Amino acid sequence: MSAVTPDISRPQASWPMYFPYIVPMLISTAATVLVFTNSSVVGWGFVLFLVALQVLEPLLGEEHETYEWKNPQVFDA
Amino acid sequence: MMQFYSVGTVLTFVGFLWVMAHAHNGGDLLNIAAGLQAVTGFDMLAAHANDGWVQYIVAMLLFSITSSLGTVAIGHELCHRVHEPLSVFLSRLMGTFTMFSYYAVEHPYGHHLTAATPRDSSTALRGESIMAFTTRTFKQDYEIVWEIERVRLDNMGLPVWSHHNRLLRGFAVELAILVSVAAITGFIGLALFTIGVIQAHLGYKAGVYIQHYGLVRDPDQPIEIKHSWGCTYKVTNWLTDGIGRHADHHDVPEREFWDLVPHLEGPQLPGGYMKMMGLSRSKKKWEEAMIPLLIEWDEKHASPAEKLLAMEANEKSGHPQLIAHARKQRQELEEAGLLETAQTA
Repeated sequence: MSAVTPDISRPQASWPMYFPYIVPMLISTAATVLVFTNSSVVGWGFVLFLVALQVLEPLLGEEHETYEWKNPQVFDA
Repeated sequence: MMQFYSVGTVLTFVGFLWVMAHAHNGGDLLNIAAGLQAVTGFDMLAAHANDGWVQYIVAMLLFSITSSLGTVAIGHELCHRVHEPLSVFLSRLMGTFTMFSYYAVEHPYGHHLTAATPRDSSTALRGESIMAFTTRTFKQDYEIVWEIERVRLDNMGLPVWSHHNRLLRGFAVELAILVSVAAITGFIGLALFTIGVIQAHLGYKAGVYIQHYGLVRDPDQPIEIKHSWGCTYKVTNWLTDGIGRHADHHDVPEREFWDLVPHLEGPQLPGGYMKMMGLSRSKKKWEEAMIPLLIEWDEKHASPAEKLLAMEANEKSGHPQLIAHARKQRQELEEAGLLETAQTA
Protein backbone atom coordinates (compact mmCIF):
# COMPACT_ATOMS: atom_id res chain seq x y z
CA MET A 1 0.00 0.00 0.00
CA SER A 2 1.31 3.40 -0.84
CA ALA A 3 0.41 6.57 0.99
CA VAL A 4 -1.87 8.93 -0.89
CA THR A 5 -0.52 12.45 -1.06
CA PRO A 6 -3.12 15.07 -1.91
CA ASP A 7 -2.27 17.15 -4.94
CA ILE A 8 -2.11 20.72 -3.68
CA SER A 9 -0.22 22.08 -6.64
CA ARG A 10 -1.66 24.90 -8.66
CA PRO A 11 -0.42 26.95 -11.59
CA GLN A 12 2.17 29.17 -9.97
CA ALA A 13 1.27 32.81 -9.57
CA SER A 14 3.44 35.33 -11.36
CA TRP A 15 4.64 38.39 -9.46
CA PRO A 16 1.64 40.70 -10.10
CA MET A 17 -0.45 38.25 -8.13
CA TYR A 18 1.63 38.90 -5.04
CA PHE A 19 1.49 42.65 -5.34
CA PRO A 20 -1.88 43.27 -3.62
CA TYR A 21 -0.70 41.39 -0.57
CA ILE A 22 1.60 44.19 0.41
CA VAL A 23 -1.53 45.89 1.79
CA PRO A 24 -1.16 44.36 5.29
CA MET A 25 2.55 45.19 5.13
CA LEU A 26 1.74 48.78 4.19
CA ILE A 27 -0.66 49.03 7.11
CA SER A 28 1.91 47.59 9.49
CA THR A 29 4.67 49.88 8.23
CA ALA A 30 2.50 53.00 8.31
CA ALA A 31 1.31 52.13 11.82
CA THR A 32 4.89 51.66 13.00
CA VAL A 33 6.06 54.96 11.50
CA LEU A 34 3.03 56.72 12.89
CA VAL A 35 3.46 55.46 16.44
CA PHE A 36 7.10 56.47 16.56
CA THR A 37 7.00 59.78 14.70
CA ASN A 38 3.59 61.08 15.75
CA SER A 39 3.42 62.60 12.28
CA SER A 40 0.08 64.17 11.43
CA VAL A 41 0.80 63.72 7.71
CA VAL A 42 1.35 59.98 8.15
CA GLY A 43 -1.61 59.88 10.53
CA TRP A 44 -4.08 61.46 8.13
CA GLY A 45 -2.62 59.42 5.28
CA PHE A 46 -3.22 56.28 7.32
CA VAL A 47 -6.81 57.25 8.12
CA LEU A 48 -7.53 58.14 4.49
CA PHE A 49 -6.00 54.86 3.36
CA LEU A 50 -8.23 52.84 5.70
CA VAL A 51 -11.32 54.83 4.69
CA ALA A 52 -10.37 54.39 1.03
CA LEU A 53 -10.22 50.62 1.51
CA GLN A 54 -13.74 50.66 2.95
CA VAL A 55 -15.05 52.81 0.10
CA LEU A 56 -13.11 50.96 -2.59
CA GLU A 57 -14.23 47.50 -1.51
CA PRO A 58 -17.54 47.63 -3.44
CA LEU A 59 -16.09 49.92 -6.13
CA LEU A 60 -13.10 47.74 -6.95
CA GLY A 61 -15.40 44.77 -7.08
CA GLU A 62 -14.53 41.13 -7.38
CA GLU A 63 -11.48 39.34 -8.63
CA HIS A 64 -12.85 37.13 -11.36
CA GLU A 65 -10.89 38.92 -14.05
CA THR A 66 -7.62 38.43 -12.23
CA TYR A 67 -8.20 34.73 -11.87
CA GLU A 68 -9.44 34.19 -15.37
CA TRP A 69 -5.96 34.71 -16.76
CA LYS A 70 -4.26 32.99 -13.89
CA ASN A 71 -6.34 29.89 -13.77
CA PRO A 72 -9.02 29.98 -16.48
CA GLN A 73 -10.32 26.47 -15.89
CA VAL A 74 -11.84 27.61 -12.59
CA PHE A 75 -14.42 29.57 -14.52
CA ASP A 76 -15.19 26.92 -17.09
CA ALA A 77 -18.78 26.09 -16.40
CA MET B 1 8.64 37.33 3.33
CA MET B 2 5.43 37.04 5.32
CA GLN B 3 7.45 36.52 8.47
CA PHE B 4 8.57 40.17 8.18
CA TYR B 5 5.09 41.30 9.10
CA SER B 6 5.82 40.16 12.63
CA VAL B 7 8.47 42.90 12.83
CA GLY B 8 5.77 45.52 12.26
CA THR B 9 3.52 43.89 14.86
CA VAL B 10 6.28 43.84 17.47
CA LEU B 11 7.37 47.41 16.68
CA THR B 12 3.83 48.79 16.87
CA PHE B 13 3.36 47.10 20.23
CA VAL B 14 6.67 48.47 21.48
CA GLY B 15 5.66 51.88 20.10
CA PHE B 16 2.41 51.75 22.05
CA LEU B 17 4.35 50.82 25.19
CA TRP B 18 6.79 53.68 24.59
CA VAL B 19 4.01 56.26 24.11
CA MET B 20 2.17 55.14 27.25
CA ALA B 21 5.37 54.81 29.31
CA HIS B 22 6.33 58.32 28.23
CA ALA B 23 2.89 59.51 29.29
CA HIS B 24 3.22 57.64 32.58
CA ASN B 25 6.64 58.88 33.73
CA GLY B 26 8.07 61.05 30.94
CA GLY B 27 10.86 58.55 30.34
CA ASP B 28 12.42 57.08 27.23
CA LEU B 29 11.60 53.38 27.33
CA LEU B 30 14.63 51.23 26.42
CA ASN B 31 16.33 54.46 25.22
CA ILE B 32 14.47 54.05 21.97
CA ALA B 33 14.20 57.80 21.34
CA ALA B 34 17.89 58.31 22.06
CA GLY B 35 18.83 55.46 19.74
CA LEU B 36 16.52 56.68 16.99
CA GLN B 37 17.97 60.17 17.25
CA ALA B 38 21.52 58.85 17.13
CA VAL B 39 20.78 56.86 13.98
CA THR B 40 18.38 59.14 12.09
CA GLY B 41 18.54 62.53 13.82
CA PHE B 42 14.79 62.38 14.46
CA ASP B 43 13.81 63.78 17.86
CA MET B 44 11.16 61.37 19.09
CA LEU B 45 10.87 62.99 22.51
CA ALA B 46 10.08 66.37 20.94
CA ALA B 47 7.56 64.75 18.59
CA HIS B 48 5.73 63.30 21.59
CA ALA B 49 6.14 66.30 23.90
CA ASN B 50 2.49 67.33 23.59
CA ASP B 51 0.88 63.89 23.54
CA GLY B 52 -2.63 63.69 24.91
CA TRP B 53 -5.61 61.36 24.82
CA VAL B 54 -5.82 61.48 21.02
CA GLN B 55 -2.26 60.18 20.67
CA TYR B 56 -2.80 57.55 23.36
CA ILE B 57 -5.95 56.24 21.68
CA VAL B 58 -4.32 56.32 18.23
CA ALA B 59 -1.35 54.34 19.54
CA MET B 60 -3.73 51.80 21.08
CA LEU B 61 -5.74 51.46 17.85
CA LEU B 62 -2.60 51.04 15.74
CA PHE B 63 -1.27 48.29 17.97
CA SER B 64 -4.69 46.63 18.03
CA ILE B 65 -5.12 46.80 14.23
CA THR B 66 -1.66 45.50 13.38
CA SER B 67 -1.88 42.73 15.98
CA SER B 68 -5.31 41.72 14.67
CA LEU B 69 -4.03 41.54 11.11
CA GLY B 70 -0.93 39.80 12.43
CA THR B 71 -3.08 37.15 14.08
CA VAL B 72 -5.94 36.51 11.69
CA ALA B 73 -4.42 37.40 8.31
CA ILE B 74 -0.66 36.85 8.29
CA GLY B 75 -0.72 34.75 11.47
CA HIS B 76 -3.45 32.59 9.99
CA GLU B 77 -1.30 31.81 6.98
CA LEU B 78 1.75 31.14 9.14
CA CYS B 79 -0.04 28.89 11.64
CA HIS B 80 -0.86 26.49 8.82
CA ARG B 81 2.81 26.07 7.94
CA VAL B 82 3.22 23.41 10.58
CA HIS B 83 6.37 22.16 8.84
CA GLU B 84 8.03 25.55 9.52
CA PRO B 85 8.65 26.01 13.27
CA LEU B 86 9.63 29.68 12.79
CA SER B 87 6.35 30.45 11.02
CA VAL B 88 4.29 28.79 13.75
CA PHE B 89 6.30 30.57 16.44
CA LEU B 90 5.79 33.97 14.78
CA SER B 91 2.10 33.28 14.35
CA ARG B 92 1.80 32.60 18.08
CA LEU B 93 4.01 35.56 18.95
CA MET B 94 1.88 38.03 16.97
CA GLY B 95 -1.26 36.63 18.55
CA THR B 96 0.14 36.91 22.04
CA PHE B 97 0.14 40.73 22.06
CA THR B 98 -3.64 40.70 21.82
CA MET B 99 -4.12 37.57 23.97
CA PHE B 100 -4.68 35.28 20.98
CA SER B 101 -2.01 32.71 21.77
CA TYR B 102 -4.63 29.95 21.64
CA TYR B 103 -5.50 30.74 18.01
CA ALA B 104 -2.52 29.05 16.34
CA VAL B 105 -3.52 25.79 18.09
CA GLU B 106 -7.30 26.03 17.91
CA HIS B 107 -7.48 27.05 14.28
CA PRO B 108 -5.55 24.27 12.49
CA TYR B 109 -6.34 21.46 14.95
CA GLY B 110 -9.85 22.48 16.01
CA HIS B 111 -11.71 24.63 13.53
CA HIS B 112 -10.41 22.83 10.46
CA LEU B 113 -11.72 19.50 11.73
CA THR B 114 -15.07 20.66 13.07
CA ALA B 115 -16.12 23.59 10.84
CA ALA B 116 -19.85 23.87 10.18
CA THR B 117 -20.71 21.66 13.18
CA PRO B 118 -21.83 22.71 16.69
CA ARG B 119 -18.43 21.56 18.04
CA ASP B 120 -16.75 24.42 16.20
CA SER B 121 -16.32 27.71 18.04
CA SER B 122 -15.97 29.52 14.71
CA THR B 123 -19.34 28.53 13.26
CA ALA B 124 -22.25 30.81 14.12
CA LEU B 125 -25.63 29.16 14.49
CA ARG B 126 -28.67 30.16 12.46
CA GLY B 127 -30.49 33.07 14.07
CA GLU B 128 -27.59 33.74 16.42
CA SER B 129 -26.59 37.38 16.77
CA ILE B 130 -22.94 38.32 16.69
CA MET B 131 -23.00 39.24 20.38
CA ALA B 132 -24.60 35.90 21.33
CA PHE B 133 -22.04 34.13 19.14
CA THR B 134 -19.15 36.01 20.73
CA THR B 135 -20.22 35.31 24.30
CA ARG B 136 -21.08 31.66 23.54
CA THR B 137 -17.82 30.83 21.86
CA PHE B 138 -15.33 32.86 23.91
CA LYS B 139 -15.04 30.17 26.57
CA GLN B 140 -15.46 27.40 24.01
CA ASP B 141 -12.27 28.50 22.22
CA TYR B 142 -10.22 27.74 25.34
CA GLU B 143 -12.09 24.52 26.11
CA ILE B 144 -11.30 23.24 22.61
CA VAL B 145 -7.59 24.05 22.90
CA TRP B 146 -7.45 22.44 26.35
CA GLU B 147 -8.97 19.27 24.90
CA ILE B 148 -6.58 19.32 21.91
CA GLU B 149 -3.64 19.65 24.28
CA ARG B 150 -4.95 17.03 26.71
CA VAL B 151 -5.27 14.46 23.93
CA ARG B 152 -1.93 15.40 22.37
CA LEU B 153 -0.04 15.21 25.66
CA ASP B 154 -1.82 12.01 26.72
CA ASN B 155 -0.68 10.42 23.48
CA MET B 156 2.86 11.56 24.15
CA GLY B 157 2.76 10.38 27.76
CA LEU B 158 3.32 13.88 29.08
CA PRO B 159 1.41 15.63 31.88
CA VAL B 160 -1.25 18.16 30.86
CA TRP B 161 -0.31 20.51 33.70
CA SER B 162 3.19 21.17 32.47
CA HIS B 163 5.21 23.47 30.27
CA HIS B 164 4.53 21.11 27.38
CA ASN B 165 0.96 22.43 27.26
CA ARG B 166 0.81 25.14 24.59
CA LEU B 167 -2.28 26.73 26.13
CA LEU B 168 -0.57 27.09 29.51
CA ARG B 169 2.58 28.41 27.86
CA GLY B 170 0.48 30.97 26.01
CA PHE B 171 -1.25 31.99 29.25
CA ALA B 172 2.13 32.43 30.94
CA VAL B 173 3.42 34.71 28.18
CA GLU B 174 0.16 36.67 28.13
CA LEU B 175 0.31 37.10 31.90
CA ALA B 176 3.88 38.34 31.59
CA ILE B 177 2.78 40.84 28.95
CA LEU B 178 -0.08 42.06 31.14
CA VAL B 179 2.20 42.53 34.15
CA SER B 180 4.82 44.26 31.97
CA VAL B 181 2.26 46.62 30.46
CA ALA B 182 0.97 47.50 33.93
CA ALA B 183 4.47 48.02 35.31
CA ILE B 184 5.72 50.05 32.35
CA THR B 185 2.68 52.16 31.47
CA GLY B 186 0.63 52.39 34.66
CA PHE B 187 -3.12 52.21 35.04
CA ILE B 188 -4.04 54.28 31.97
CA GLY B 189 -1.73 52.26 29.74
CA LEU B 190 -3.14 49.01 31.09
CA ALA B 191 -6.71 50.25 30.58
CA LEU B 192 -6.02 51.25 26.97
CA PHE B 193 -4.17 47.98 26.36
CA THR B 194 -7.22 46.09 27.64
CA ILE B 195 -9.51 48.08 25.33
CA GLY B 196 -7.18 47.30 22.41
CA VAL B 197 -7.28 43.59 23.24
CA ILE B 198 -11.09 43.58 23.52
CA GLN B 199 -11.34 45.48 20.24
CA ALA B 200 -9.10 42.90 18.54
CA HIS B 201 -11.17 39.99 19.87
CA LEU B 202 -14.45 41.59 18.82
CA GLY B 203 -13.02 42.22 15.35
CA TYR B 204 -11.82 38.62 15.12
CA LYS B 205 -15.22 37.27 16.17
CA ALA B 206 -16.93 39.47 13.58
CA GLY B 207 -14.62 37.98 10.94
CA VAL B 208 -15.25 34.35 11.84
CA TYR B 209 -18.99 34.99 12.36
CA ILE B 210 -19.46 35.56 8.65
CA GLN B 211 -17.28 32.73 7.34
CA HIS B 212 -19.53 29.76 8.16
CA TYR B 213 -22.69 31.47 9.44
CA GLY B 214 -25.58 29.01 9.67
CA LEU B 215 -23.94 26.29 7.59
CA VAL B 216 -24.37 22.71 8.73
CA ARG B 217 -22.43 19.52 8.10
CA ASP B 218 -22.71 15.91 9.08
CA PRO B 219 -19.74 15.60 11.47
CA ASP B 220 -18.91 12.19 9.99
CA GLN B 221 -18.51 13.64 6.50
CA PRO B 222 -15.53 15.67 5.27
CA ILE B 223 -15.78 19.39 4.82
CA GLU B 224 -16.63 20.44 1.29
CA ILE B 225 -16.75 23.65 -0.75
CA LYS B 226 -20.35 24.23 0.29
CA HIS B 227 -19.45 24.53 3.98
CA SER B 228 -17.85 27.97 3.73
CA TRP B 229 -19.12 31.33 2.53
CA GLY B 230 -16.88 32.50 -0.28
CA CYS B 231 -16.00 36.11 -0.95
CA THR B 232 -14.28 37.27 -4.12
CA TYR B 233 -14.03 40.98 -3.35
CA LYS B 234 -10.55 42.21 -4.13
CA VAL B 235 -10.07 44.46 -1.11
CA THR B 236 -11.17 41.68 1.24
CA ASN B 237 -8.63 39.26 -0.15
CA TRP B 238 -5.84 41.82 -0.23
CA LEU B 239 -6.40 42.69 3.41
CA THR B 240 -6.74 39.16 4.69
CA ASP B 241 -4.34 37.21 2.50
CA GLY B 242 -7.07 35.51 0.58
CA ILE B 243 -9.26 34.42 3.47
CA GLY B 244 -12.26 35.21 1.26
CA ARG B 245 -11.34 32.13 -0.77
CA HIS B 246 -12.31 30.22 2.30
CA ALA B 247 -13.75 27.14 0.67
CA ASP B 248 -10.51 26.43 -1.18
CA HIS B 249 -8.56 27.05 2.02
CA HIS B 250 -10.67 24.47 3.86
CA ASP B 251 -10.33 22.09 0.94
CA VAL B 252 -6.54 22.01 1.35
CA PRO B 253 -5.43 24.02 4.41
CA GLU B 254 -1.75 23.62 3.54
CA ARG B 255 -2.16 25.47 0.25
CA GLU B 256 -0.54 28.91 0.36
CA PHE B 257 -2.87 31.87 0.05
CA TRP B 258 -1.60 32.95 -3.35
CA ASP B 259 -2.57 29.61 -4.82
CA LEU B 260 -6.11 29.67 -3.46
CA VAL B 261 -8.88 30.06 -5.99
CA PRO B 262 -12.48 31.16 -5.56
CA HIS B 263 -15.17 28.51 -5.88
CA LEU B 264 -18.13 30.23 -7.45
CA GLU B 265 -20.11 26.98 -7.39
CA GLY B 266 -20.22 27.24 -3.60
CA PRO B 267 -22.20 29.67 -1.44
CA GLN B 268 -21.10 33.31 -1.75
CA LEU B 269 -21.42 36.24 0.61
CA PRO B 270 -23.39 39.11 -0.91
CA GLY B 271 -20.63 41.62 -0.14
CA GLY B 272 -17.04 42.05 0.94
CA TYR B 273 -15.88 41.27 4.48
CA MET B 274 -15.94 44.90 5.56
CA LYS B 275 -19.52 45.34 4.39
CA MET B 276 -20.61 42.03 5.91
CA MET B 277 -18.84 42.67 9.21
CA GLY B 278 -20.64 46.01 9.33
CA LEU B 279 -23.99 44.34 8.58
CA SER B 280 -23.35 41.76 11.29
CA ARG B 281 -23.53 44.53 13.91
CA SER B 282 -27.28 44.71 13.19
CA LYS B 283 -29.06 41.38 13.57
CA LYS B 284 -31.97 42.62 11.47
CA LYS B 285 -29.84 43.78 8.53
CA TRP B 286 -27.62 40.72 8.73
CA GLU B 287 -30.59 38.37 8.63
CA GLU B 288 -32.21 40.29 5.78
CA ALA B 289 -29.06 39.63 3.77
CA MET B 290 -28.31 36.07 4.87
CA ILE B 291 -31.61 34.26 5.57
CA PRO B 292 -32.56 34.01 1.86
CA LEU B 293 -29.07 32.66 1.17
CA LEU B 294 -29.41 30.04 3.91
CA ILE B 295 -32.72 28.90 2.46
CA GLU B 296 -31.08 28.72 -0.97
CA TRP B 297 -28.22 26.72 0.60
CA ASP B 298 -30.71 24.22 2.04
CA GLU B 299 -32.33 23.79 -1.36
CA LYS B 300 -29.24 23.79 -3.53
CA HIS B 301 -26.34 22.43 -1.52
CA ALA B 302 -27.55 20.35 1.45
CA SER B 303 -27.21 16.57 1.30
CA PRO B 304 -30.13 14.52 2.69
CA ALA B 305 -28.40 14.26 6.08
CA GLU B 306 -27.69 17.98 6.05
CA LYS B 307 -31.27 18.77 5.12
CA LEU B 308 -32.28 17.18 8.42
CA LEU B 309 -29.61 19.14 10.32
CA ALA B 310 -30.63 22.33 8.53
CA MET B 311 -34.27 21.73 9.38
CA GLU B 312 -33.42 21.33 13.07
CA ALA B 313 -31.23 24.45 12.96
CA ASN B 314 -34.04 26.38 11.31
CA GLU B 315 -36.51 25.25 13.97
CA LYS B 316 -34.16 26.43 16.73
CA SER B 317 -33.23 29.70 14.99
CA GLY B 318 -36.16 31.71 16.33
CA HIS B 319 -36.43 33.45 12.95
CA PRO B 320 -39.96 33.34 11.49
CA GLN B 321 -38.77 32.86 7.89
CA LEU B 322 -36.47 29.99 8.83
CA ILE B 323 -39.12 28.38 11.05
CA ALA B 324 -41.60 28.53 8.16
CA HIS B 325 -38.97 27.01 5.91
CA ALA B 326 -38.36 24.27 8.49
CA ARG B 327 -42.05 23.27 8.29
CA LYS B 328 -41.74 22.90 4.54
CA GLN B 329 -38.51 20.94 4.98
CA ARG B 330 -40.14 18.63 7.52
CA GLN B 331 -42.96 17.91 5.14
CA GLU B 332 -40.58 17.22 2.27
CA LEU B 333 -38.37 14.97 4.38
CA GLU B 334 -41.39 13.03 5.63
CA GLU B 335 -42.68 12.59 2.09
CA ALA B 336 -39.28 11.37 0.99
CA GLY B 337 -39.13 8.98 3.95
CA LEU B 338 -35.90 10.56 5.11
CA LEU B 339 -37.20 11.87 8.39
CA GLU B 340 -38.24 8.50 9.76
CA THR B 341 -35.01 6.89 8.57
CA ALA B 342 -32.88 9.60 10.15
CA GLN B 343 -34.78 9.54 13.43
CA THR B 344 -34.60 5.74 13.64
CA ALA B 345 -30.87 5.86 12.93
